[in-house]
Amino acid sequence: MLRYYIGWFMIIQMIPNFHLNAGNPMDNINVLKKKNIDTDGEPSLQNALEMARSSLIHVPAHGSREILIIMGSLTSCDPGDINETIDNLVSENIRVSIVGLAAEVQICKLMCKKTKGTYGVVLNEAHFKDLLFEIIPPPPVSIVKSKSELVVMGFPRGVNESMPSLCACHSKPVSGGYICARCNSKICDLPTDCPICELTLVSSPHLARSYHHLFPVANFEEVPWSSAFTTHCYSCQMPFQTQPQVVKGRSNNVTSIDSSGRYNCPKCKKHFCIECDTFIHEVIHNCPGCLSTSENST
Amino acid sequence: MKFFIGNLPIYFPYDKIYPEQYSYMVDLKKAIDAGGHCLLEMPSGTGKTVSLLSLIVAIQANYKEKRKLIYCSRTVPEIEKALAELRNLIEYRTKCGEKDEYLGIGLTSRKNLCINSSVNQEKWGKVVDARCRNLTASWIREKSKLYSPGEVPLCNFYEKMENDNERQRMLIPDGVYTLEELREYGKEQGHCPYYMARRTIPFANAVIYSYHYLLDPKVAELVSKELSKDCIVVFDEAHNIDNVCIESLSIDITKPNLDASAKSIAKLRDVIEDIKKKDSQRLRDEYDKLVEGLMAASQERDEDVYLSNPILPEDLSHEAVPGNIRQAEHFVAFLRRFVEYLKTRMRAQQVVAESPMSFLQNCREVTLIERQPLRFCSQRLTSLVRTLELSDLNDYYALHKVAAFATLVATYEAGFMLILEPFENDTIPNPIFHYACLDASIAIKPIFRRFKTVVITSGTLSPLDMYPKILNFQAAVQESYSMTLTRNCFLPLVVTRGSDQVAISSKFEVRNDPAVVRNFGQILVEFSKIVPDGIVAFFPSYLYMESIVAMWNDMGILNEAWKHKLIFVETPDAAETSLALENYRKACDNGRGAILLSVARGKVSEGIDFDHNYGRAVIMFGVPYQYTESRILKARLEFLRENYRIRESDFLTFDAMRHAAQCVGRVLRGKTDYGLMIFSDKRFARADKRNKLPRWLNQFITDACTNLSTDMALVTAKKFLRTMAQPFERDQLGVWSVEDVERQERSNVGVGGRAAQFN
Repeated sequence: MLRYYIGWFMIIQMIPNFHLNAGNPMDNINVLKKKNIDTDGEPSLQNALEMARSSLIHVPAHGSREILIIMGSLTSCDPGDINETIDNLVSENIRVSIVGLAAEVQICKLMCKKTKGTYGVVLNEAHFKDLLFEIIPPPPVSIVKSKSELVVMGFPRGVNESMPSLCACHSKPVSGGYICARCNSKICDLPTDCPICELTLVSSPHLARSYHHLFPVANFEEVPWSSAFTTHCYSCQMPFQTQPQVVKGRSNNVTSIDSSGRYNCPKCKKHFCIECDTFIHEVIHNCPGCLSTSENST
Repeated sequence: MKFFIGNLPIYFPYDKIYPEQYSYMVDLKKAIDAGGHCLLEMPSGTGKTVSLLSLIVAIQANYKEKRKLIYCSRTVPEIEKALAELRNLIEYRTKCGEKDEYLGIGLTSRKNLCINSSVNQEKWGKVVDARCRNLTASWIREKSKLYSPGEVPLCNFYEKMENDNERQRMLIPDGVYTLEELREYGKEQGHCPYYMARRTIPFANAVIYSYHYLLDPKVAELVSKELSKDCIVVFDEAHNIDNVCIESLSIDITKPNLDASAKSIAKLRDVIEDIKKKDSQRLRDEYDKLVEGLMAASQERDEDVYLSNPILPEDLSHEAVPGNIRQAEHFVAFLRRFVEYLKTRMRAQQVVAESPMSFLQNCREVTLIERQPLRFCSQRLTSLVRTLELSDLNDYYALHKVAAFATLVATYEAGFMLILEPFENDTIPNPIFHYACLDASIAIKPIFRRFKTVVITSGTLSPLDMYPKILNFQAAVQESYSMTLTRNCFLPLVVTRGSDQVAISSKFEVRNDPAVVRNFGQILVEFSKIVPDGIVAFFPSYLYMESIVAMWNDMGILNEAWKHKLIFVETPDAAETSLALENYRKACDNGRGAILLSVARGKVSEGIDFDHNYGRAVIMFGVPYQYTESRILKARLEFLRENYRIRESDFLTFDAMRHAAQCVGRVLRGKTDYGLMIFSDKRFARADKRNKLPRWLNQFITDACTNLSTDMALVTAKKFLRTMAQPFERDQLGVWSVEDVERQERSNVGVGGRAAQFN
């Protein structure tokens, strides 16, 4: 499972002037830098969406299809009925997220709601960055549509040749690159589809990186004192606090420590301290408790 | 939630209550307990209707005397909304275990209620009424008994209802019916919903209908006659109630009206001749009845009364109809003479304004028509129509108007004025005879006198002391409420000058000054750039709107605005306007954005809501003063000054500001909504204008947003729109739960309660 296609469409003042859906971030950034030139004419949300839709339509069902629009305009001159386009997007499971630069436009709000995307309007530049970066982590896979489907994938071998040879993707001589696992053609960057045999090529870190976004670790729940029977954190083995003795007449102090400092993974029911909880959710994206139990069971 | 105000248990169908809703209920209860009238101002969209209904239903359920609720609203959708709210409340009460037997019913015109497919296809209300009458009038039903079934068309729904009614069956079980449900129920039972509703009014606990059923004597007589004294009468959205009162007693007669009546008179004469030959007995019966007195003659079923009297019931004379119009042919000749007289009067070349007295005098001198028979014109015509068993009453509409005119002129003197305007706009000959009522208190006086409690409420009633003056009543409670908001969801901006610092105003002297027009245009263009979706712009009058739009077109301002939004214009034509509105909404929905140019006193400014994306900003171009050159207005101002000591300028400002408040209030229909309110005229910055705005609006007009230039306003507006676009956290700040209400209630009774303990 890989989120290797992001349709990024930008409308700044007019027609959709660029779309980039290469899996490689560098390519996208290059296109953005190159094409971000003066725009004119009337903006059309529908044109942009239709164009994005047509290029996302080839994306296999296991990938997430998303459109991100950064919209400065408050109006959209459409050739047809935009609601039809929205319905099509909904039926094709394409998610549209919009960052508005000026004010809330009803159709955008409606569209994001229908396609389960997010809609935000920026207050200032910092807020703009926040909103944009919030969209970057891919959405978790919904259970309904994730029918298990096998995808043929190649894990190409990285090479570093002393003599540059032509790559299959740009027909330019390069010295470094990857060799397709099936047809042995040379590609510059991952992830991509092999231009010769159309095999999906990824590297294992890509897979690993996207995995935790697709299946995020569920939020841990705070454990009340009544069930705080563990003594050590499951992951770091640091001892937990013990329940303070209720001293009669000094009940004021007791109420001040009302959390047990234990956090419970809803799946494996192991208890963790607050530091590990944050570390698990923000850095490693895997629950040690779940991983160890699944190993034991298999 | 359930809580107590005093000893009264109140069920409120929501978990939380706003403080202003609570104080609204407390004040309302005070007024009802005191048996007085009250005047309450609370912004719409904040749950005014539900607070009102919960309190009144609680009173109905807990007080010994069973008081009926008469709730008058302005438009059919508003009636529908109030009914739905009432049903919701009753359902909630039943869920809480209260066993009320509650019947709530709404009434509207036949056009909206009729389920007879042969009749309800008609477009015009009047035609539907006439067609309905052709199927249900008593003589037609009599006639059908003589012929074989099917030969005389009758309304099946009505017939079935009549049969069931005779068998003493309850027409409709308890419950609250919205208009649509009433139709459904009627279809199910095969009963006519319109007559079913009318028949149930005497038994219903709550009746919700339009103002006119209570205020307009022509309909009130039929519908609201049997209401008892202790009804609680509520006028919702009542900021225009004085105009409704005045309109219900005013009549305009035009030249085509007179021509049509002359034709109808000729037709009447033919019918009389005809009947004389065939069935002279009928006419003689009528004559005898009239000799005995008209009251006896009018003991007829209400379905037969098609056109009733235009004057108030208490002004009705109880004498017998004067001798010279008792004979049918004499009466017709009398009418013809009167119509001819009016025709000659219309030939005048200059404007005539005279009192009804002098009109009558002149009439007597020229045509020898006395006042007394004129007074009975309308009654006599109704009686004649009934005797002749006329169908197709639509043809006699104009004649009835003339008869009503005659009756009104001969009945009322003080507070009325006759104005003949021979030209439209001083050039086009189109003579109109206005019989103008100047005193709003005349029509509403019987209501105040008849009912113990009359509640007048609306979103915009400020300044509150004006209404008691012009309607001539004493309010036991008059109160204006502020608005509790979780966020400042509207931003009033007073723009007094353009970006070039030229003061802007719609004052007559400068209104066509290119600098002012350009600055107005600049405001429109600039705001169309920064405001998403819909903008509604209001002008003081159609005339001014036309001239300013033409000038904008020449200046290229419209082209500029077109880049950002589509432009729609309201016109006096209702069909055109509704088409424009429909497309306007479409443009707001699909992201194109639109501007609606409309008029402060037009259809759009009243009763059409621009909630959420349909109105993110409303711009008032100029102060919406009335057209002060209007002769009717001048007469009314003079009357108000002489009789109620209201200065002309005070009344004009009051009227302008209530319309302005009404217009800007269109964008805010609830607390989750948000919108900009832009007052662009330098006069709005003056304190005497501003303090006439409602309190909930005034509380948000800060010094920082008054006296702005266009560019300053734009900066503030941009910031506001960004802030409002942020996700709305529904923190329940300023909302009360049951405990808060109880605490408040304790502190209210605290003083009194302690005093009682010491005693």
